[in-house]
Amino acid sequence: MIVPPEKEVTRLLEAWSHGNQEALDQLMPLVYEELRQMAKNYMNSQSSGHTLQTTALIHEAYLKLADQREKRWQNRAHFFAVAAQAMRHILVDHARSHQTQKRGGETQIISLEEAAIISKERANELVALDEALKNLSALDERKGQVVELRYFGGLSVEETAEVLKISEGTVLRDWRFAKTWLLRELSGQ
Amino acid sequence: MRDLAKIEEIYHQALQIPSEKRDEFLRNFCGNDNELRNEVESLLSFDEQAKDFIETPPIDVAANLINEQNKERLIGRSFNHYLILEKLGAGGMGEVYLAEDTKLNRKVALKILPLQFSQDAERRKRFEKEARAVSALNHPNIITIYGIEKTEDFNFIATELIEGKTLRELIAEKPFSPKEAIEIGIQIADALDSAHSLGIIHRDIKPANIMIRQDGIVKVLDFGLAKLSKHGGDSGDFETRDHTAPNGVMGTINYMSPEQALGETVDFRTDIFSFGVVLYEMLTGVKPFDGISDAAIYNATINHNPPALSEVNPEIPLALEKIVFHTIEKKLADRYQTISELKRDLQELKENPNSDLVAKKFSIKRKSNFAKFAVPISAVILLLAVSYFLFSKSLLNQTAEIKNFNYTQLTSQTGEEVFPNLSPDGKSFLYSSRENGKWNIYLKQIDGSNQINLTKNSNADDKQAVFSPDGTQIAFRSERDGGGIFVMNSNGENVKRITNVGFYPSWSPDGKELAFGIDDFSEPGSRTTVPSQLWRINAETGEKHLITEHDGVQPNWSPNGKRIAFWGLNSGGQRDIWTISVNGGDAVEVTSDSSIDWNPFWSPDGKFLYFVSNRSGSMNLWRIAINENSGKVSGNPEPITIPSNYSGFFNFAHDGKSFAYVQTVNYSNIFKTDFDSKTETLGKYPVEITKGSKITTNPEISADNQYITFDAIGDKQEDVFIAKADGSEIRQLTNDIYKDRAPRWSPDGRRIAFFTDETGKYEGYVMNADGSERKKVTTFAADSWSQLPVWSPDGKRVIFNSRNGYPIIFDPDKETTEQTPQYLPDEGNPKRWFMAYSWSFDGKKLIGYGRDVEKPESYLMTFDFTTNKYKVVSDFGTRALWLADNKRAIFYHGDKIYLLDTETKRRKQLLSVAPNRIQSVSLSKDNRSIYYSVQKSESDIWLANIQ
Repeated sequence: MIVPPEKEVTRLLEAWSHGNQEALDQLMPLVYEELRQMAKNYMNSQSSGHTLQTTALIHEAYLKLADQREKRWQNRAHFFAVAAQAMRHILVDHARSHQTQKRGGETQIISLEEAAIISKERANELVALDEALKNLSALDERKGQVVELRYFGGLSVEETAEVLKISEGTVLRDWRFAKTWLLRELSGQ
Repeated sequence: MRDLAKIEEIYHQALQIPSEKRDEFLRNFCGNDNELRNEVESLLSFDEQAKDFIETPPIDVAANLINEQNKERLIGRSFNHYLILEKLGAGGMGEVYLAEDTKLNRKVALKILPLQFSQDAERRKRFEKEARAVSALNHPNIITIYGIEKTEDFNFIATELIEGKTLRELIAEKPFSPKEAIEIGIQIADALDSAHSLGIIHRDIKPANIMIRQDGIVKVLDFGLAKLSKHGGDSGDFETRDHTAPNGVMGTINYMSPEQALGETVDFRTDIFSFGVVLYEMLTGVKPFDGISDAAIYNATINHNPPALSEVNPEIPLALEKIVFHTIEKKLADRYQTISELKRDLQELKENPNSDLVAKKFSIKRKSNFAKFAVPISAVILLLAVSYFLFSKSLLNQTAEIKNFNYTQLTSQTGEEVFPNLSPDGKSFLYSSRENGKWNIYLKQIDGSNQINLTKNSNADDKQAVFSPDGTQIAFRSERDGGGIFVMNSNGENVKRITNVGFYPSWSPDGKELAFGIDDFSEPGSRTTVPSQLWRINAETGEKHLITEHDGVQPNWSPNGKRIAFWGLNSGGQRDIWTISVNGGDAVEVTSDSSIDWNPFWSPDGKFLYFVSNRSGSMNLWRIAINENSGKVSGNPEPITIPSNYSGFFNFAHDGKSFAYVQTVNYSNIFKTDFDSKTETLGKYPVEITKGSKITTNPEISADNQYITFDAIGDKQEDVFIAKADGSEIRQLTNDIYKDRAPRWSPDGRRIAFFTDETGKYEGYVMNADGSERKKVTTFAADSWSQLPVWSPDGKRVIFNSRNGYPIIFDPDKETTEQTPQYLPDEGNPKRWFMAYSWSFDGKKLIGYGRDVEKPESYLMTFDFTTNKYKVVSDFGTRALWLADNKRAIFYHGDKIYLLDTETKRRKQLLSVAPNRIQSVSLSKDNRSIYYSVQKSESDIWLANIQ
């Protein structure tokens, strides 16, 4: 039986919020694919004028994927967490493949993810950041999540606080410390 | 690894403590736990830098990038029946393009509006309704709207194309006479009257929104757009002052009414006030409500009255003064109530300039300003009568002999295509372009799509190619075999060296000789200051003649073969144009003024000398009538306006019916990156400190790393700014029509040294860091002028480099009259000059660049105060800065930043920004960050056919 995707995503979000880790494993590829597709389509639909923001992309993906009759905020917060993680995967996966890939001359940008990794340096930076972020998460998981939500998910301080169920003050403190820590890590000291 | 929670706790506590007390705090808190203390200290040292780190999500960065790219791609694309040809400008409301209406076969201006207000249905409806109302305006002084159209991606407005200048550009040239201002004012009032009668308020009347056509007709632009483009209702929806707006639009809030400034509801009378502000500025060249910050401007608008017009210009009649002040009354009820009333008064004044009827209408209630007007009426009348004769030279009588052109873009590759030269038969052209860093010369058909690389077999730079008059040969500059001027066949074969020096060759009309200058340049404003002799040489026999030792470059041979036009440096650093007999003698002046004049070229009939100048703001084409035999010019330069912000490298086809030229977009911005002097590496994350399409350069960070100072070039002005180290809170320190350049902080961060040409030539100045107490420090000899300043590490002395000489040391605390300048010892080498750029931390040495007269290349030199010796430390390089060890230095050259050990002469490349260029570099006093500016350039070749 084919389950409509919005029902499926909503069900998985629900299950995950009840602690079902397998649900996340099933959820991730759905969100990953959707975001990737949206990032690709962005190029075709966009000519001039307004500039996309990550947060808008993720909100749009939520509207598309999740059952809108289901108004439970929890689902939305969970979705953001998944989406930020998916976005990180998309970008870092792309950066990794880009590191090994040789490019010649002028490159036509064909998707958002391409544009994000416009140069080898940029790709290296993203991969290095991803590594450093893993180290940070090992020391302090919440700080890792704050960075993932804020940087890869483009979430505001307020949204991040809601997703992680912590105060905005804590998000700000975590964010400031994490940025400094990561920058130092990347500077090789 | 230690417990992160504890480290974090101390870290956050330490951040609450002023940085000078942190050491003490950490000592107390960590006790003997050195590991903990080191860890926190190391993190704290990254806190400041981490401020902008990963603040923008990668997708947002990417989307911005794509957006930028797409904007560029608009050129050449068609929307509905409009083909976009060229970008004309950008403003708060969107970008404006020159386009061709392919249906009606006419040129139009397209204003592309941001997408955001087409996304919500309610707003879109409102937009369309109001846009329809605006487009219904039909008045000779209001720009005609041809259509408001939509594509999938954006809205755009197609309007008539107005060939002329904005009031903003014209005011920058010079204020208007009362007669002209009244004439223009009546037309503006007429436009506003017509709109107001249809219920449409302009809301954003300012000089940039008013254009004057070449025939003197005034056109008011952007009716109602201020409202359409904003989110909210009627009040307070004005742009904020934006120093880095794309086209350098500054001080938009200067024209807002007090009710707008206060965020109150506005009505038609807001336009009346803004119009009054424009009138005031037209008459005086001064903005009546101005200040160094938004707050100061708001304050002036709401609370202060500007000086009487006659204080600024005594020739302004009393009646006109009263009209202007009545329009800028702060209280709505005191102001003109309708625009038609104002229009009537202006008309009355125009018809009866001698009458004081208008003046009598107003009761004298203003005390402070009007008390000064107790001038006898007869004097006013006399003044008016005299001024009528003086004001007779109006905008209206400019010759319009050449003005209709058809433009064709000949090249459109990314990067720079420059030095176009049309073949004698007019069917093809030569140009130069860089590929992988090497300059090549290409030949292309006017109507063809492929180009032939004529110099593909050469490994050296080849450029500046010109056809011989019979079209069989090409002369060009090449760097091969040590460099010089070469000649080849028109197919690129049989290359022959003519000279081992020289740039910009120009053929004599008989094709026997070539004229050339010693110095090269890529941009006239930044030409280095070597006197460049002019020579001519017989291309067959190699017989050489010195034409003049006067500084001259880019020669152009007159059609009768008797004179050569060239440009060079005049006193005070001006770029002016002369002509000289091919046999030498005295050069005859063509221009002598503070605008940059260059690229002189003769009309094929020899009656006019065309040249490029920024005298009206943008770098554009001008001409002046000239006697080809004597070089005597007659009349004033007249504009031949090309629709471009920066054009140059013009040359005529032999029949004089077309000319080729280069259109350039140049801009530079400031970047910051971390620097590690131990590992001699730069950080991975350069941060963009300024963004925009202006030339923003010469950054320097203050000793406490809190502020940067820099200079920025607007349309015509070049001013000094300061900003927070991250580029926020920009403040303009100088605001005048002069070129204020190269600001440098005093070591204590209280003062800024810079140089400016406000006295007519460049002199050195020192001012406080808030722009106050500006003091002239130098007075250079008549044939010299000031260049870059350099502070001594103790701040007690300041060097101002001198043109073609050596650095001179001044006392920054003294006025120029009290100075006893200290000169560096003469090294007995008259062929060399030295420009210091940095004083070592120990005060013992200077580093800078040297140049040999006759050679364009610069190299790095040091001067040692203890031994009085100069030493060459690098065989190339431009500006260099000492590191704190007084031994190493960083410098830039072309597209790269290097590190240099001045003792071992070891060099290490730190950064390359190829294909762009580094324009300036600055090192923080703690040697931990580098600020630099990167210049980007896009140049294409165009052809103009005269109809």
